[in-house]
Amino acid sequence: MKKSILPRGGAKGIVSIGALVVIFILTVFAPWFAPVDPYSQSLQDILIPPLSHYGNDGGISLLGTDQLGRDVLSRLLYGGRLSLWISIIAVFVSGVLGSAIGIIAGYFGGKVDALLMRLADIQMSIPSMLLAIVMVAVLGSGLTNIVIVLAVTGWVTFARVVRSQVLSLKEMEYVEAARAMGVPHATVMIRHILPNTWFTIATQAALQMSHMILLAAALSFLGLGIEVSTPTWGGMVNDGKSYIDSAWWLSTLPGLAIAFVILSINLFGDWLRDRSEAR
Amino acid sequence: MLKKSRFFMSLTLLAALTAGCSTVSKEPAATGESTPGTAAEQNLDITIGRAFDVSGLDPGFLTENAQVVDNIFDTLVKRDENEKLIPGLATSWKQVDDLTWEFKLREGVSFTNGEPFNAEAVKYSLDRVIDPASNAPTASYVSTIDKVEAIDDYTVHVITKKPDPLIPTRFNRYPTEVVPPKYAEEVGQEEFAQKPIGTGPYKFVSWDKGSNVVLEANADYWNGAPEVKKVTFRSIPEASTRVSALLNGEVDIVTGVSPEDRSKIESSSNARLSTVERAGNTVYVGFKTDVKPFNDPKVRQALNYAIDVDTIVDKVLQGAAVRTNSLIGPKDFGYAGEPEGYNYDPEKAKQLLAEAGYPDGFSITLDTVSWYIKNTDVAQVIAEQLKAVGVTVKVNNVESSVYRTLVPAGKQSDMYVLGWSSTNTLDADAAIYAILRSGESYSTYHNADVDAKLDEARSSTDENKRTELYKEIQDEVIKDAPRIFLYQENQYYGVSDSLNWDGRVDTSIQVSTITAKTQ
Amino acid sequence: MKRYVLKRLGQALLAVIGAATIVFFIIRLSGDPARLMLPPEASEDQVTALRQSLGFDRPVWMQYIDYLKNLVTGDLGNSLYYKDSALKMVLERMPATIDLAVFAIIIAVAVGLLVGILSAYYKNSIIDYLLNGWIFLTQSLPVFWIGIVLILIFAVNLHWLPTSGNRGLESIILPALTLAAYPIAPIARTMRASLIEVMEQGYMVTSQAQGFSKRRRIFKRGLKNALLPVVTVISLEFGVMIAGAVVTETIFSWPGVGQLIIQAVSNRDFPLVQASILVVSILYITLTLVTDLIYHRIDPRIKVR
Repeated sequence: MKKSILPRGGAKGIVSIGALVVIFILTVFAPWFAPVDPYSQSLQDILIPPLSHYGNDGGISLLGTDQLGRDVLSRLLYGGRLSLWISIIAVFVSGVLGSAIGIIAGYFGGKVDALLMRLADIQMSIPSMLLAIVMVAVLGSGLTNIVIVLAVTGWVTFARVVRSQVLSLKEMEYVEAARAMGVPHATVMIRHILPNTWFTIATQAALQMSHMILLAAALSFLGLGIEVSTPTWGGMVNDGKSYIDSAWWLSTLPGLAIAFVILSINLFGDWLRDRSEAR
Repeated sequence: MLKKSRFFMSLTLLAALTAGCSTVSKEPAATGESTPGTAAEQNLDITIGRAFDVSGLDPGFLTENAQVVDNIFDTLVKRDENEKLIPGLATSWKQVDDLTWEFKLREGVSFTNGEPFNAEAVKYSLDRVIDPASNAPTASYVSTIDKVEAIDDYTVHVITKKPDPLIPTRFNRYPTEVVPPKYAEEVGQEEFAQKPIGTGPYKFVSWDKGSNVVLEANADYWNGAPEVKKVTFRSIPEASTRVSALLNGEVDIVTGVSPEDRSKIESSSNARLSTVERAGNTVYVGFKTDVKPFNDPKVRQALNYAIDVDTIVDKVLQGAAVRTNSLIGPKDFGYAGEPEGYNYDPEKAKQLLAEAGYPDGFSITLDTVSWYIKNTDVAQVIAEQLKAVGVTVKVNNVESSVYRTLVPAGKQSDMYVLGWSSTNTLDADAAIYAILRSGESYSTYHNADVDAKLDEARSSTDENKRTELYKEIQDEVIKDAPRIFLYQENQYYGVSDSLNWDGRVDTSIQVSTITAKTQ
Repeated sequence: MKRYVLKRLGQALLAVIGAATIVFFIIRLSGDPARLMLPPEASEDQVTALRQSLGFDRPVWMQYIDYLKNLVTGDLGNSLYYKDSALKMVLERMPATIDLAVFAIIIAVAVGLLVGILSAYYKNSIIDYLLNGWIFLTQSLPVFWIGIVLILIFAVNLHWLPTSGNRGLESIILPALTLAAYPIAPIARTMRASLIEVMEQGYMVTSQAQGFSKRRRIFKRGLKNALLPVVTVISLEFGVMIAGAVVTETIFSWPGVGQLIIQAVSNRDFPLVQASILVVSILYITLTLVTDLIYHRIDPRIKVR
């Protein structure tokens, strides 16, 4: 993966960052961009195809309406906001947790390291999707639980990657010097080790982000997601699948939205990785 | 394929675990596929696509409907296509005294393993169900029975605890289907549920759990060998997939066609839609009438006025249900026509709420579950319509298995969606007792007068008296509004054009009645 | 070598026990299974009786000890819903999932290697970019969405292939394609990267000097050397495949372990959920173990992970 793909070098960064900024603005400020309230139903206007007129007032629905006459574009934007927030929080929580564990394991080594890494191994032996399904089934669905489940499944990757970097950082002269001078462990870890792992953590966070979005969407799709009326992308694909041949837009559009976001994030992650290798 | 997967398995050191089976090649490709044309051939072999697999095949211990086991077993009493009771394994029955019903049994019938069918078999079949120690899931369907006595080889007496006018109908449905005592004892209850034997028109062949059940015709069936020689009940959970499978000719009959798929079947060249009006559940929004604010009838009436049921039926359900205020289905005993109820009137709703002391409405959670047609959609529309009169509703879609525990335990929210039907006793008692009698696990309504009338109607054998009582109950319940009255669902089946079959009100699929269309 | 194998085996065993423990405790956090096994009309007494007879009323740690004991003897309890041995049911479903996974892996490897080789061969050309763009896209599409779209196109509209179930070769095509979509990307990328790396190494230059044609050079030598990392990727993708299988099997009603898990979860069928997840985890652990051991044999410098 040294020289790779798609828009190269800087262009990759510009394209992906640009796309992410657009997605970010569109979803975070969903209330401003959404043409109507995503919850508001209009039973007179159910299943209107994209770019078609509403029945009564003659306005145009850009991306059509769903089976309760709710505006698909508005729901996509709000759904995106929710999906992104869920994954951002989950990535943040698992990132903090995983990185802390990784740093501690790598820094202290020995028994602590062995214990923590065995724990990681054990969790990794259950495919994360299965772990997530079982946890949601047990804890129940809902926003908080989904975030918890995603965070729990995600920490291991962070811990492993950070740990392996810490192992090499530990050998660095300035770290050894600090330790020799009797600087407390915590300070060494926070002052000298953590700042040097930022880049690794960020790259990993980008990759995890796309995993989390997909996992959360899959859970919603399996009916293990969030409250029914709340729009989420996975849930929208699921809701729309019974209309797949009469109203193609219901499932297709949110699926494409997921793909677009994942694509941008992956591109961004790729760019970060290129840069870290170039350093 | 076989080779490859063997190779892979040995690679993963798992050959020992999964030796010898490769599912793809296990089943011949042609199984169950009957295109028009081949159907008329002698070996009629059909596949029925249902939403769920069975969980067991012992009719005495079912936890779901009896669509599959109905074909392996017989009941003493059967129903004809007009739902009239006709002789089954019993040739006649009569009430001997208040508490005793006498059944004369059919002679010369034997189980498919050769065991003879007789009074002992009937007694055995019931005893094991009504024995409290056996925890039979559907024991309540026959809980009025005290004991069964074998008078001679072909006569049984059913003794009830109180007078029970419904005994013949009770002997029309599970768990009263007759099992062979010797075999059942020999293999035990669990084994029997895996490999059932009955007197019915079909014999059990195989059960691939979670996937399909295969039955073959019983050539020696007492009522004549059926035309369909082999039937596969396949579970296809996704409604739209089920319909696609029908249109692709992979299955011949599908159950539970959802409203938006109806037109696909109607416009197809190889299948047709079979509609059974009001054969499904009567769906309503229940209130816990002892909890604020629903302890005030005015609030309950207000919410009834706030819901535009016609639009829901028309737009959300696309006409797949019939709006009704009746508690009892039109095919049930006790049905007294369509009573007047509450018409959509948001202004009146607001006024009643104000009178009850809630001029600004209130906030509440509505529990819903995916059991009924488009139920989560309906719940969301209800929430939206209640918002218009000031009541803020949070829709809580409860997972099916959780709902199954919450509701009978009374732990659901104060407002909840539930549907109920008389199933195949087709009697008002089954339609309403369990959901209106206080103290019943599915009831959240408390009305001493209604309770007394329900009890009286249950044990009276005077039909006129019962009809009168049910009408009184209905009038009172409508006025008191312990629920938001919604609609009764229709049932839709997709049927291959090569077969003669139509859905029934009692939801049974009697495969022995299916015949090929002569072309 | 021997020490490594022993250590690795020990780790695998620990992982199995750990997985068993995690699964047990997660599941015990849940509600009351006795209630679920009885019909709605059942009385509280009946529920209590059943709870006692199944041992759900005892302290959790006692249930845990029993559970571990039974685990050693291969007894994972009976499915609450089907009243049949949970382990047996899972094993009965396993071949279907393995068939699906093998088919998907074959497709993914075939396509992935082809794409990898082509884009390495035409490195930095327009073909390379197009292929990589396509790979990137397939990796970004959610599995469930691909499945639905494939059904829409090939089963509903074209009537070429069946929508669901497991009857003959034709019914495996759509689910296998769906499941293959994701692992294509890592396989193609790894192939491309390792091929390029191998080609840039010295001995390849030598063979160039010897006058091999470019194409033959790639196939004869580079491929052989580049395959090793690809094998690792394939084994690592297995976990992802299992995750994908849960969704894929649900969409296509494919009677494998994935569908069983979803059914069991919605029936709150604890023993069955336990058994399925354990079997899948053990399979996964074994697969990783075998890959590591083979790898170690080929290249003993690789340390314990």
